[in-house]
Amino acid sequence: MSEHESHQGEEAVVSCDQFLTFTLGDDEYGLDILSIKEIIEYVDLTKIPLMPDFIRGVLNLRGLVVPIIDLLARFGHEPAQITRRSCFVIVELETEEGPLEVGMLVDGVNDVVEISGDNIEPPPSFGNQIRADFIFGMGKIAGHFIVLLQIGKVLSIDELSMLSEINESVDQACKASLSEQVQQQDSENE
Amino acid sequence: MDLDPVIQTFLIEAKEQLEEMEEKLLSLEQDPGDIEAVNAVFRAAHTIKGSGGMFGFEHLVAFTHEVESVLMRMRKEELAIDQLLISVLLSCSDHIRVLVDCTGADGEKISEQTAQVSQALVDKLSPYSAKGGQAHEQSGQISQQGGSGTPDKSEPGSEQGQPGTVSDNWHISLRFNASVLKNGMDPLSFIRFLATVGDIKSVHTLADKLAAAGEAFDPEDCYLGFEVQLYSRAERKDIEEVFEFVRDDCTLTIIAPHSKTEEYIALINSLADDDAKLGQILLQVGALTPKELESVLQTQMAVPEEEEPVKVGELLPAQGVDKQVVDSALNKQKQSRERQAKAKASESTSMRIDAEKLDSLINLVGELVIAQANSALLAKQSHISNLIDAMASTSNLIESIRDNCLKLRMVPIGQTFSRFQRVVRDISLELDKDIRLTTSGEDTELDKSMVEKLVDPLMHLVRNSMDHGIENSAQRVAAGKPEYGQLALRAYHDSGNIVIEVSDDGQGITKEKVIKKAIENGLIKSSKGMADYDIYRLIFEPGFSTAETISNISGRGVGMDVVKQNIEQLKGSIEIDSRPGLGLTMRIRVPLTLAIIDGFLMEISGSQYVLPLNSVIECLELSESSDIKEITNNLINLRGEVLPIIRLRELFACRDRAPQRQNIIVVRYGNRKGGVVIDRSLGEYQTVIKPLSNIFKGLEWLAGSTILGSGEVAMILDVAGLFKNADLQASGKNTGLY
Amino acid sequence: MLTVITSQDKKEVVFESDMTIYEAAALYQEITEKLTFDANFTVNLTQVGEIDISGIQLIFQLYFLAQSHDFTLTHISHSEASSQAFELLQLDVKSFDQYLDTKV
Repeated sequence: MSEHESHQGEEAVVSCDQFLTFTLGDDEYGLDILSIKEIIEYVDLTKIPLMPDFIRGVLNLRGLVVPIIDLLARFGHEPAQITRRSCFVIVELETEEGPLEVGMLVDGVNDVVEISGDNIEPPPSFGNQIRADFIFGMGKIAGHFIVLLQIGKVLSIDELSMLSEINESVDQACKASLSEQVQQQDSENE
Repeated sequence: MDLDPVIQTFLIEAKEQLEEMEEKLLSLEQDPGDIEAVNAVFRAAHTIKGSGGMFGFEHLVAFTHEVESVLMRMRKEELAIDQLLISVLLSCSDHIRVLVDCTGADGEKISEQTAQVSQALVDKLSPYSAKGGQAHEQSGQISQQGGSGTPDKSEPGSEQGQPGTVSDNWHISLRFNASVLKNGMDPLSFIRFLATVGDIKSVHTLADKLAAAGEAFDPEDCYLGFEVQLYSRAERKDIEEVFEFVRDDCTLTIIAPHSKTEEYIALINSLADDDAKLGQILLQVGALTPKELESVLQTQMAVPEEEEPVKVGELLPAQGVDKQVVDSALNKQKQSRERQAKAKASESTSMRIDAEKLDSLINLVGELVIAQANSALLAKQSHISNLIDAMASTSNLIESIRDNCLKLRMVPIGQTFSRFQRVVRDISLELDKDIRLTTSGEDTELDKSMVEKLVDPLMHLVRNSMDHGIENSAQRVAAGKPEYGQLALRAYHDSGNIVIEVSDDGQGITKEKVIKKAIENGLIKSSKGMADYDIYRLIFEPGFSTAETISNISGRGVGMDVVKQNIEQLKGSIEIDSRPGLGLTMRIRVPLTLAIIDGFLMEISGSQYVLPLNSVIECLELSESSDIKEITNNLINLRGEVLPIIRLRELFACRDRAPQRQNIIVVRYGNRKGGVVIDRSLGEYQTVIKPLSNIFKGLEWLAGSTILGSGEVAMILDVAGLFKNADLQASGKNTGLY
Repeated sequence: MLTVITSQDKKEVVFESDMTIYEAAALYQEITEKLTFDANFTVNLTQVGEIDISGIQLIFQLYFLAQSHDFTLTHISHSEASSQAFELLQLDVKSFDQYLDTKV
């Protein structure tokens, strides 16, 4: 077991060398397996209206209602397309109010790999596809690098809840539906 | 032995006794003639002292004993009961709570500071307690008379170079006064306590007096005596300490192991029992060998006749206390005991239940509700009418179980209200305002988990009323109001909610003052275009209160915004009802239960949602109904009433086409009404509320989620939140209000 | 609260409440009202929650009263509380006979 210090100066506790690797779009990512509770097959989610894209919906996990985050959307890309290999990685986060389950939609999970501390390098200072504070480090396996995620930041409850409250999508939806409404009324009056 | 659960019980029960103590002290302040209240306070203190003693919490016991001495005098009506005395006793009661908090499985942890406070309070009590008083210690000085087993003589015989008896055990002789039970002590518990300082080898119960009583038997007197053989490495004083608090009511003789036979002679002499019988007991328990007993009896016979053994029963009047006085005192105690016994007999029996066990039961019932809903759905689909009927009866039964279970968690709010008597009293004194608290609706019940969360908001509202609302007496008289301020706490049920009101007859809140303060603190630029309702709501904005209004009483930095947050966390709401110049009522509305919901299931654009059933007034078809006339997109006229409506399809930005026929659900929230337009209504639906992830905690229009019979998740909508959201959108501009 | 159950071959005094100082007077009242000492009987304490010395005394008194009518208390069935109390005082109904000696 090796411990690494966070490169962003935040507290990170990674006390194992094993990471689950998964695919998002064209890129491969890794997440330390200690945070991972389980991996489940894709099921249809209950959508929650007025939520930002990255909140895909919620699902019923044996009686527990778990929110699912679309990582691609979270990283600022277009929402993920569902494929054969799409699945959910359920993560357990430690919060002030106790452990909290959150799920991530990924394009497919790959192997669990072992990456020792010396094979983890700090994230590059520029040219990152995703926010620097989402990256725990760059893990080197088989000659190439994968992005190891700082899951506490990626799925930061505070951030996610704040973003949900800013109903940016509402204004857009409002305008869109108002115009639809007008169209409808017009057609009905005919 | 794992002390932890036992200590937990001790802590819980001590806290209950302390609450009782405080309550009765407060009522005694209003009615000093209430003997029952005095007795109740005494009993509470006594119980705490006794249990504390069992655990060896010496500091707690010693302090409580001092308090008890004063209470004892009050019981005997030797002290005038005035506000000063009550204040001191209230402080002592508070301090006992502190001392109880210092206890734990590892014993007492009393800091230097705490000990000093204890001493300071004891000093305050000293003018009230009898010093060197004969009055506190009634008969029971016997151990100092009759020369039996005084400390000096009872050194182990071997120390004095003379052989003592062979017995390895301490011999403890106990003769309790007849009135020991009436004085609130139970010999059984002292023997139990004794068992904690050593190994009880034998106990002999002496029932002579009982046998002799015959028809004159008084069930409340104590007739029994005990001879105990105790094997212990403790010292004499440790054993004496066991009986410290019953010394006044018993004859205690402790004979150390290997004591000389003289001790036993003295014991036999001092007690009015049948000598041969006692001797036999001593023989039986191995206190004496037959030879020793023989020598004891022989020695005894040599005792000169003048020294007649003192008979316990005669000691009382012998001490010079007037028999009549004694009789009447005993009579009074007896009467009060009778009253208590009657009262206790009519008390409802109750049981202490582990909260976790109850929660897991309720969870199971919740799962049962879901499973049953699923079964009911399948039954409906099967179209087998017998099956559908059977499911209906099952579902009624399950509803009853669910309701009963939820009732288990309900506690009357009176418990919370009574805490405020003390608070109001203390703050009144501090503010030098005469404020009287009345409460009503104490029987109104609410979920236990909510009670604690309501205390802080209520406390804040009460303090606000007392500090800012109610004027000082001069101002009040000038305004034509009675000198004393009136504060009322009221609770009642209203359509699935519990409503708690905090009312005062003070100056109320005026719109102008609110606007002024809001502008001062930069919350708004002007009040133009703001409805009254919205103006009053400004007080809930963070930053509304400035440093100058946050006095010591109202608390630092705890504003009305936190109060509102706390209430909203309970899925409740708070209303302001102000009559400027006349008073203010703050009305808190909280749903009765958080766990299971009677819901109304509906569908919008293929997704199902649930509305709390108690918000639903009626459901109508939108286009067909002749009762409805659409005025604008967001207003309708329902049978003469103009209601704002929300079209959920619009709100939720649904892209698919609306169905031909839509439904509208007329809902209520707070004291307003509105309409919600949906696609289809699917009827009533009871289910378990599943908490939503904290990601969604800021969304006011979401009350939670639930799992449908199909296993799918459905959102539970909060009606008030929906309308608030709609207001925001409709107005188009951000008024900065939430 | 107590109940006396009489059947052909046995009589049982069932105590249904706590037996402490608070209940003592009422219980003794019931004993004198409900119980006639015309047969041997047993005492059922299985429902007794709390018991203190006054409760123990009541049991003794039952015994003495029975004896004075030439009958006896033959058996006591215990609750956990009463069993503990009796054990603490090392009392056994069989040993009650020793108390006969003290009867005047």
